[in-house]
Amino acid sequence: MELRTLAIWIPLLPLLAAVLIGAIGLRGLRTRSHWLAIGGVAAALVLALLLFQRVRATPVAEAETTFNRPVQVYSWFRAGDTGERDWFNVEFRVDPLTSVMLLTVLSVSLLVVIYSTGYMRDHHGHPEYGYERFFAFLCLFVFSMCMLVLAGNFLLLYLGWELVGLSSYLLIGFYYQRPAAAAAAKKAFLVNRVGDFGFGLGILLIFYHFGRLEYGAVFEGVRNLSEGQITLIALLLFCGAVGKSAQLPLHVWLPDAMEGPTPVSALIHAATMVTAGVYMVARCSAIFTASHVAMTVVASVGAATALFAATVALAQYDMKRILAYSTCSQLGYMFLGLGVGAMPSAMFHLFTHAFFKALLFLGAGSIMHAMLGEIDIRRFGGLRRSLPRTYGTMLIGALALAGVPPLAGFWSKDEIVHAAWTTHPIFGVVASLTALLTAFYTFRMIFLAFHGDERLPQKVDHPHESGPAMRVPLMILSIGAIGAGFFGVPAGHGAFHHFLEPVLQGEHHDEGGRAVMVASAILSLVGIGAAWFVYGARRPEREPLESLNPVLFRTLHHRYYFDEFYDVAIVTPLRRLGRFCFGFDNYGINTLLALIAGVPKLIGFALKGLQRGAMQGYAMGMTIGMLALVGWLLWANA
Amino acid sequence: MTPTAITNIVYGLAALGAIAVYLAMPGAGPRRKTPAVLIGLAAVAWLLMLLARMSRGSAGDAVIFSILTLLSLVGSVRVVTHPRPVYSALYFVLVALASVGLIVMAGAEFLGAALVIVYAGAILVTYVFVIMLAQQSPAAQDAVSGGPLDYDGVAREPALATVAGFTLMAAVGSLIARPLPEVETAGDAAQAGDAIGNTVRLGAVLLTRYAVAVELAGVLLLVAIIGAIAMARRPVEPEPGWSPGSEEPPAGEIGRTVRPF
Amino acid sequence: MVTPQSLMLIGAVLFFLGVIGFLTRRNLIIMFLSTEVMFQGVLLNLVGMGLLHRNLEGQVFGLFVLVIAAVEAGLGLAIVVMLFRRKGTLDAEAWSALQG
Repeated sequence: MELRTLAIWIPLLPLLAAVLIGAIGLRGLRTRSHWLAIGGVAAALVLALLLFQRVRATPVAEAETTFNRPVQVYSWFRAGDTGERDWFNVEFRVDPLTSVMLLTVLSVSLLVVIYSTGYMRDHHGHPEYGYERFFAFLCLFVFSMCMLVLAGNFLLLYLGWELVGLSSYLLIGFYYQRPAAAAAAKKAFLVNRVGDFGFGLGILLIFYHFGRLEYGAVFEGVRNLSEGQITLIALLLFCGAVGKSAQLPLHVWLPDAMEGPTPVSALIHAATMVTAGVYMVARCSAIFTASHVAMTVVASVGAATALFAATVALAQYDMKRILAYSTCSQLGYMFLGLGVGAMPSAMFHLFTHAFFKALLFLGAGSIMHAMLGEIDIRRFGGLRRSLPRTYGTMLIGALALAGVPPLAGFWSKDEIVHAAWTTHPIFGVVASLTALLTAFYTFRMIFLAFHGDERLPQKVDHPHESGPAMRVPLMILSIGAIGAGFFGVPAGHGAFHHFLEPVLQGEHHDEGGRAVMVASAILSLVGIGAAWFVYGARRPEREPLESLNPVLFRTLHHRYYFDEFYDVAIVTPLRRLGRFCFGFDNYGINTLLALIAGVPKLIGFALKGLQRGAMQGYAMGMTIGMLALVGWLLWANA
Repeated sequence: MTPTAITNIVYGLAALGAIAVYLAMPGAGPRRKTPAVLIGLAAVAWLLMLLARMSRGSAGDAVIFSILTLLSLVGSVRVVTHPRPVYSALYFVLVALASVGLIVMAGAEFLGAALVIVYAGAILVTYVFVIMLAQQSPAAQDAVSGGPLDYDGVAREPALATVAGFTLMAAVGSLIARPLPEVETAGDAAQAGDAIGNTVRLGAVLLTRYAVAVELAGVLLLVAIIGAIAMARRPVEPEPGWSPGSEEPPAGEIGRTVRPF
Repeated sequence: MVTPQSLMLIGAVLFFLGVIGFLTRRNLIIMFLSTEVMFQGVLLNLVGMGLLHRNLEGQVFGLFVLVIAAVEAGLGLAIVVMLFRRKGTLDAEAWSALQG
């Protein structure tokens, strides 16, 4: 099959599935809508595999030219007078980065879709309200993400960017009748908007400098601009990444996004959408690496976020929120890796993280199903006897997240830690400290949930494992969590990195020192051990951290009061401004309009006096009129 | 006489006439009647002098013309200003007969005769019948003076009406009073001393050139008869609050004057 | 002295006296009488113009005006009778409910 056809059908199949489910789902398919979704995504995955093969088979010599040539799909519009250069096209870029992202996105999406067929049911097994709507939105998301990844120019990238934002809004607010969910969806969209504004400005600046938005042309032309201009462009583009990937200070929407169904959290807010920012920075590595300042900013923001999120996760009780902050933290890791120039390592971490984070989220969903919706770890415990398979898979995921060798997380995280240490000690310290905290809070969660005596919430009599639709994806993902790491071995020079090298620019770091590897492994084990000591052996009565330092704990629990600060500093003034404008419009402009509308009324009222109902009055009027007419005829024209 | 002079005279006449008519309006007491009469007569006399100046004719003609003019003008003023409807109708007969005289003097005998028959004979009789039908009960009349009722006895907007009317009259009159150009038409009117009379000629013209119009006029009269019968047969409910034969007219109606503007 | 001008002048005077009567009096019947006075003025005017043109057109027109006057008098009085039956008064002001 031709490459162009392959590339077109990959996003098109999920889109068709979404449209079909939307069109006939409510009437025809209803509970069978998931077959369309599974079919669409699975077919797209198969095509993505073919695409991957095609890309891998490209000889190294022609790699540069082949990858830089975009796959034209459709000439969209023209914004200029003459010439080829003024056309904006729908064009795809097919290269190793694209194929890696496509594989990640589509495989995790397929597993999540299969999982959802079992999850989106009530405890009697009947599909929930809005079942078909869920799958339509999921397919819409898959389509958007594929468009984002396949985009060959910035315009299409922005299109995919906004579409995934829209899908995220629709899916977070899936239970729209719950006010918390609706508010969370709005918050996600609006915070993303802030980032996207900077992103849009960056794209406009690119157009201003280069006159075109197509990747190849832009990346070629980077060397013609001064570093100051490049820095500005890079920072503006990074704004979008900060919003989309929930970095400081635009991270506030990610924990609230947990109001959506758990498969949504797994897919969008762990594995794929939030990684779009990382993908974008990697894609524009030519731009970022040309500016020292931008790289430093990226790395700093990433490092700060990683540490910040890790500390907050220590003090959360809601399992999904712990995982959300963990995602935030790991994304910070990825940006740290990007910022220090280890681009392939960052992408590798993205790849492995997708598997074990999705695994952890789906496991949390399994627990939620068993606990009839309860996910606060204070309310249950000791579940490893009742939910053995869930326990097993989640344990694997936690070990991967904590970075225990030889699971996937170890290999990817270690590379970044090493790259951080070689760049600057501060980054190294932050990276290692975050790794320690990651292990700690992850296993705090595991021990509190699964170990100790069994305690159940009141409404649950007898927790039971989920059906096969939910179990099988968990198992497949755990295989991924274990095995994905081996694509990156040996550290820094695995198959994965070589595959990505032609398209990613960055600094090459020398071989990861054995010392760092060993140190990372020890740190993870120390973290797990500390967690066991505090939480595992015997379930503590009160939160030990709270007893240790109540003020600090409260700050961490309230997420450093970020939301409250935003509310006071930004939201409330804006609300006041809105109310003022409304008042002005209502009282000012409406009054003006009423005055204008009142003029005919006034005239009518004034003329009303002429109509007294007296016939002779009218006759008098006629006479006077006649007089006036005759007078004019006689004396004006005399 | 120059047109300007004529115009001035006409306006002067109009002013005089306005004052006279205003003074003669109902609602005025006896002491206003005398000046009204005097001024009115003066105005008429002046008018006649003007007309005499403008034309030539035999003295006998002039006398008859003057008398007829006087009668018609005075009669019409009385029609308009007399408080009691019956008298108005009678004065109107006078006006009609005076105009008949003027028309006959102008040579339109048939028209004059028709006028007498139709107006004085039919229309006025109808009017008098209706006046008698629509008479209020005597008790509703003014108990003190036995005179006319309030709405008959008061003129509404006399000043404005008089001024407007007479101004118009002056304007139109000044146009008419100018020397008129000679008109050349093939006249088929009867000249003085003609063998064939006016009636014969009129009949000939009516039945040849205006035959269709005559037929249409007949149809019109027929329709009018049918319409009048249809309306008269319709039972009309008296307004609630009043029944025929009661001594009190509906409350609030009499004596109310609504200003036109 | 019977010239077109004099006839037309007297016709004009009669007409406008009728107008003043119509505007001034409140009794419905006298209002109608005033319109009859206006008709008289018109008739005189027409005869005068016939005299001016020295043909019979004026008189013919006058004849038809007479017909119309008769018709109008008949129908108008029928209406006046109906109005009187309704309200019991001949006051024109009684019929002023349709006001702004």
